[in-house]
Amino acid sequence: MKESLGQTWAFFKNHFLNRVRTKKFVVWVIITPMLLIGFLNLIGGEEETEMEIEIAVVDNDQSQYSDLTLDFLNSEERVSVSECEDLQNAIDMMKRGDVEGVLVIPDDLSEKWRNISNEGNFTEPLTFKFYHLSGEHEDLIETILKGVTAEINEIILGDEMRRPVEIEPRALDLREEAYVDFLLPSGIMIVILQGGFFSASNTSSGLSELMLNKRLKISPVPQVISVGGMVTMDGLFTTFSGIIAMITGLILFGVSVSIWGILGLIPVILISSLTFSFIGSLIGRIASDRISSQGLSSMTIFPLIFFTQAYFFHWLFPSYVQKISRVLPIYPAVEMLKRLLFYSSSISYYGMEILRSLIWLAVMLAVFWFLHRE
Amino acid sequence: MNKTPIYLNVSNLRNRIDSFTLENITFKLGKGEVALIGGKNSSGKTSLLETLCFVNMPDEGNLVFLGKKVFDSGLKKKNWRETKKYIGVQFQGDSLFNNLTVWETFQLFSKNHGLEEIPKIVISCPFLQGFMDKRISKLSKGKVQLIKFLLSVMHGPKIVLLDEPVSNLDGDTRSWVHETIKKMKSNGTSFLITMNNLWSIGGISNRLITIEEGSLYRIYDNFHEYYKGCTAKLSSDFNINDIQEKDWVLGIEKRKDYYLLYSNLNVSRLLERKELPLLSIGEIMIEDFYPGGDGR
Repeated sequence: MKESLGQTWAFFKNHFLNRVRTKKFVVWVIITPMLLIGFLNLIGGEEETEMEIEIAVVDNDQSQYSDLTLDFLNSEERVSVSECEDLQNAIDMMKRGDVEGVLVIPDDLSEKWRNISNEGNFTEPLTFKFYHLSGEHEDLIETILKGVTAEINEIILGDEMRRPVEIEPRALDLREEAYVDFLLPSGIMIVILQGGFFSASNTSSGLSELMLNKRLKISPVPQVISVGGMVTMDGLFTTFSGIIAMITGLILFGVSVSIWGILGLIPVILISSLTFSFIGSLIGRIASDRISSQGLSSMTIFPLIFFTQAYFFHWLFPSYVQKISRVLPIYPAVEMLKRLLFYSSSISYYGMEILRSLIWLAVMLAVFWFLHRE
Repeated sequence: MNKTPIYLNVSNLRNRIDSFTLENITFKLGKGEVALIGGKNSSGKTSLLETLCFVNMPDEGNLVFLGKKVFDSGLKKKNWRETKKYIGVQFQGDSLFNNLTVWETFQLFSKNHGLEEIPKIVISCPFLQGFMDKRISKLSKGKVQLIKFLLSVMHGPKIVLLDEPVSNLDGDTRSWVHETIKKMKSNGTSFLITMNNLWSIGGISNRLITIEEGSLYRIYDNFHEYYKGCTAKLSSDFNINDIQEKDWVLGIEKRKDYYLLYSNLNVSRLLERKELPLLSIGEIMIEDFYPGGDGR
């Protein structure tokens, strides 16, 4: 008994020393928790979340009342307004990602204001239509419109003591899909993110761990080609996983997508898979072994997953984090997937996202080439 | 006069790798020459080999392969991509792609060297018959070692750098490797081989380059002469002038508290020399060629 305890203690002690004596110990045990909690604090710790959204406004009333509404909206810091004459154009702007929602000023706005002014009819709501992709800005718009109408109420009726006019913002999703449907693009992106990162980082760190990188270094074939080929293959495997996720999602979520939508999805998944694979391979190159590379990959993936919107919408983050999230490679891919899956948009609607994704891929390829050049 | 072309010319090579420094490395390797690199554990043999093939980038010095300058302190790396086609390297301790079969492994690296087919030297190797469809992960260490040797020579390189090439091989396979090296040597291929065991490489080398704590210690030419003989420790109060000119003496070195005599006589013949104050005697070992390494 005493002997077994002694042996156990010896292993226990040696393992402790083995862990503590590595630089990785400091990273995993001390720095990682600090970084993760710090990140959570970053995204949720701001006392007042400032949301900023860009909306298109279609004025169907064209009256002094709608002008007042627009003036107040323009003076509101939380929204940036683009006026648009036609609803379809405004919706197209939203699909392209130029704006995040479309507010329609109803053609009976002036009539209703007059009713309120002349007849004191405060029960009939003012109905604004607000089109959006995911319902994420509904509360904000409702709050802003309440404020706007209250101010108009004060101007028209000249009595700030009167009860503000009630409004009923009608948020209409373009497809009236449930929020859960928007998890599908995010879910596909998480599959791609994890697959790309882990497989490629594992490949690159495995080459170092097994010392295969030496053999590749002295091979007549440049490493950009040999290692690049392996990472590309990881990217293709990840693409395959992404397609499996997409097919499973389409079946389980009951989403019907046109053939053009599906054809558009594959390059999006391919570009994202390759980008994340090359990022993963760079992480694998930094790590000395596969265990470290998995740890580093997890550390990198963890914050990125938040930006897939699988768990949180962007607007829950502080405005500067929202801005950061938009330049990350995950954002344009999720946006493209959303539009392709739910609106079967044509390529003209997501050209900017494709461009952003291709820029990310090009940057990663350039860094990869730089590190593996001879 | 027919002068042997110099295939590898190393001068004043210096490379700092973490806390270890390889320095003052200067030697030449002619066409068809086999040189052994000897030294204690951690003396820098592997580091030297890896520096020569740029797995570890040298800091200073000059490197000329096959008449082409591939490195100097000003030029840095140059002409390496063209030159490395003519070089074969066998590393110590590296792995192959475990999930590939032996055949697939040779196919992959043949294509790397621009070869259409797996070379004959591989196909005809008697020790791989019946193993070609086996995965690398299922093979013994010896078989993997043999595959790594074949990978380093199959493309017909002009210079081959081998790090402990026969350490896991059985007697028959080792003999086959020796024969292959001899055959390639006679065809003009040069070999630089690190090793811990002098006998494991047989009598195929004519030079020994010894390294001590990262620095070149001594180069023994005509090493085959030593290979035939033995070494003996002589008392430090012995007057070595009495025997220095004898034809059976290859060399005498002053060590810490004794003289080390290298002789081309074998042990029993040297024992007949009654005038020698022998402290010990034995067959020649690699350890005899660098200070502090003698284990007898």
